[in-house]
Amino acid sequence: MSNSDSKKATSKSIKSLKTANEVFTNVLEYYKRGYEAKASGSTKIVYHTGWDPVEIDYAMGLIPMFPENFSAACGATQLSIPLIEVAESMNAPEDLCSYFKNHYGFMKGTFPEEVLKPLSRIRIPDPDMVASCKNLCRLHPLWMRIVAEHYDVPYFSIDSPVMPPRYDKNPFAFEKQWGGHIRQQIGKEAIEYGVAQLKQYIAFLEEHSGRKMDYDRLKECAAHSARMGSLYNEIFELRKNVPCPAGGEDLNTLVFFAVTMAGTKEAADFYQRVVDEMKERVAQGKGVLENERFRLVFDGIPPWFNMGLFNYLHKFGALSVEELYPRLWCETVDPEKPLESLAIKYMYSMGHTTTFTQFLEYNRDRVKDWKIDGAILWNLTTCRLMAVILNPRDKTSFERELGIPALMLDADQVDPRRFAHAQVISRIDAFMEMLEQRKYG
Amino acid sequence: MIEKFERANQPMTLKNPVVQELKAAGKKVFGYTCTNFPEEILYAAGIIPVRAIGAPGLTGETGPLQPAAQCFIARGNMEMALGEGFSNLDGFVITNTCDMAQNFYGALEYYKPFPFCYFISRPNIAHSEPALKFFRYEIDMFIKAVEEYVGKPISEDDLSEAVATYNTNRRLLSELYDLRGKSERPKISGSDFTKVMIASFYMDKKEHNQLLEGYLQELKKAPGMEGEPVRIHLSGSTYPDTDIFGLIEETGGLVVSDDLCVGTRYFMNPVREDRNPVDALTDRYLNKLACPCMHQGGKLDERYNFITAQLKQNRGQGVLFGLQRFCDTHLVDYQALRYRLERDGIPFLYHEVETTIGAGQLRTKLEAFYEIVKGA
Repeated sequence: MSNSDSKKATSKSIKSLKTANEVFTNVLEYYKRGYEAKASGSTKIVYHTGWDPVEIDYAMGLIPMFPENFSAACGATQLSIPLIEVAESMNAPEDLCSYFKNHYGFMKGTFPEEVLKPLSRIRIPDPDMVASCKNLCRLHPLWMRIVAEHYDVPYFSIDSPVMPPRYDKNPFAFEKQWGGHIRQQIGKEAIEYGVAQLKQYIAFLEEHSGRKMDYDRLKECAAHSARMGSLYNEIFELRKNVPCPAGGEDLNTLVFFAVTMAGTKEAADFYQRVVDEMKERVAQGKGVLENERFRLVFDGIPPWFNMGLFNYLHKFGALSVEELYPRLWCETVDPEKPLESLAIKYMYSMGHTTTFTQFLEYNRDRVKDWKIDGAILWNLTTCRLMAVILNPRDKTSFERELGIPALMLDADQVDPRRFAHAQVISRIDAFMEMLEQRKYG
Repeated sequence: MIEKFERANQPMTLKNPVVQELKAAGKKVFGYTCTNFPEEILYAAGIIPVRAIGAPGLTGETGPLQPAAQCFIARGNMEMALGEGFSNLDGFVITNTCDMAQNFYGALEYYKPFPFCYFISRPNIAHSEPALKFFRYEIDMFIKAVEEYVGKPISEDDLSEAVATYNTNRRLLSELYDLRGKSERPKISGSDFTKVMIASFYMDKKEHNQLLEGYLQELKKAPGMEGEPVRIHLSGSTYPDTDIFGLIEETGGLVVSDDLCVGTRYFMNPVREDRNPVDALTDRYLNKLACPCMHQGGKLDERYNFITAQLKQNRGQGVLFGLQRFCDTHLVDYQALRYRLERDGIPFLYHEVETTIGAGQLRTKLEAFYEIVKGA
């Protein structure tokens, strides 16, 4: 499983799970479906950012598409540089989000055939509507507003408040908490705020698509999402096993369905197959590595242009067994209370906590339950969420509170120009040497 | 007279003589970060709110746990909060605006919990009934927390009086602002105006009002400024000093209007005094002049219309975007605003500032910009 080509700054990962190897075909199919729908006019395309309530779109027969996923796909297929260069030539500052610049460049630029041809497989169709939920990233809704202006289509913005620790003690906590990885209690005022906005979002879609929401259909989609959510959670639960049956190279790919297809039977069915494959491995005592010596956390949006880095860790007997990024989509929903539970999933779950102390509890569980030896923090310098909020929280909680060494590497998710490969490799080597001394003496 | 204001232009509260005097007089003083914080609530409780706007000349060292990839204002605030700079403050309140503000609260809570440390989860969308309802709940919770801290209730009269004092300050600052560019010959420079503005962040508002009344009378009698500087509208967020205004003046320009967090976004939009003060405060602090952190539909037009109205009112000739490096919200909004400016044929210049304003580079850019503006 090891990737021997460690000198290459743009290597692909070698995935361990058979199901993970099927994802890219599904990605291409997803884009093709969007394109065909757009061309035939059979339904409308709604653009979204990373983590939006797409169950509502699916319930209304609309197709959600994600410029951010498009940027990740450009990164994975080594197509991002010319697009980012267009954005920068138009005065988009160097420090601005690479996902944004990739899509902004694509949207604004004109490209030669040698760029357009490889791009055609993942080319995102133009939107009919644009929506964005400010749940993780504050740039998302600002970016989408620019997109809506560019295509001259209607725009809807969903707010999700930041939840400080006092909400943990809210006496009006909602009676049931969905999802399992955040201990926060959500106040009824917050839930009401979320539900009111989702109702406005439905009205927005109805107005601009000419379709009416069928609430029975929404319950069905919520049921698919609930099944998907619990299966997706189970994937992370199964990774607690030693040896671990799936690595970061698998999970960062598998997340695709949870992002783009929450609320569909297809997504739930796919994760059922992943769980089955992983269970079989666990039953056989089989892991990704024959000799698993180190269990790592990898936090940050991964380098889509060089996912081979995950395989590089194998040469030390190390595996990424827990990652914050794909786990963000773990929340499940309650089909009987679709709007309330969707509000919690998308507005009040992971990432909305405000402080180190809240985040510490999450990391405490990770270290204990996933038996973590060390953490690699992929510090996206163009991403304020990662560089300013998540990585400092991680670094503080792992090193200062939990005694787990953490290696912070400045890098990027889609821009190979902002990635000093040799330096990253030498720092990983040194980090692993230190972990070796620490664990095995 | 400007010296009386300048005296309070020290963002490091430990060294600010005005804050020192407030402390010596036994006043409780709380820090806050953003123009969307309802200061009146603290003022009504007898607490003086003072603003954290970063500080010039700091090292930027905020320890290994705070990354460099955040704006210099946030880094400056962090350095002073985790070090000694804000050690004479009794509390800190952060309102939800950007990632830096969120992280700042997290760092305070963990590393340096003030006796009173609070985060107000203000929505990022305005002109929305659900957002207003949620923000009202947040404001109510905050009032309760302050009442608990001071050990007595804050009455409606206390709040109304605080609102009146702050509204007077807003009115006076607006009058002063109008002396910058409304007439052909400005009576006050952008840098002097901003000195008055920054002083208002640290002085007791009643005292600032009194001083400002006198200054306005003095200025109104004074003749206008000589010469024909290039009249600039400055767009951005916060600066810890007036260096950028000074450089513009030095090179033959004058900032006659702005949309800054240390400018119009602070004092525009008075609180309505004809309704319940908590309702009025909630409304004002959610729906006030939009900053880039907000993302309701129509915000860009709201921002752009404000800029063009300021250009018109103050005979502005061009727009300078003096944006903080790593300030995503401003940097993205700029991408949209520039197309509108291009469409309408309004000259504009983009410049990023960080630990300093990058004076050498900005000087050259400004000189070229003035040529373009004069030729336009």
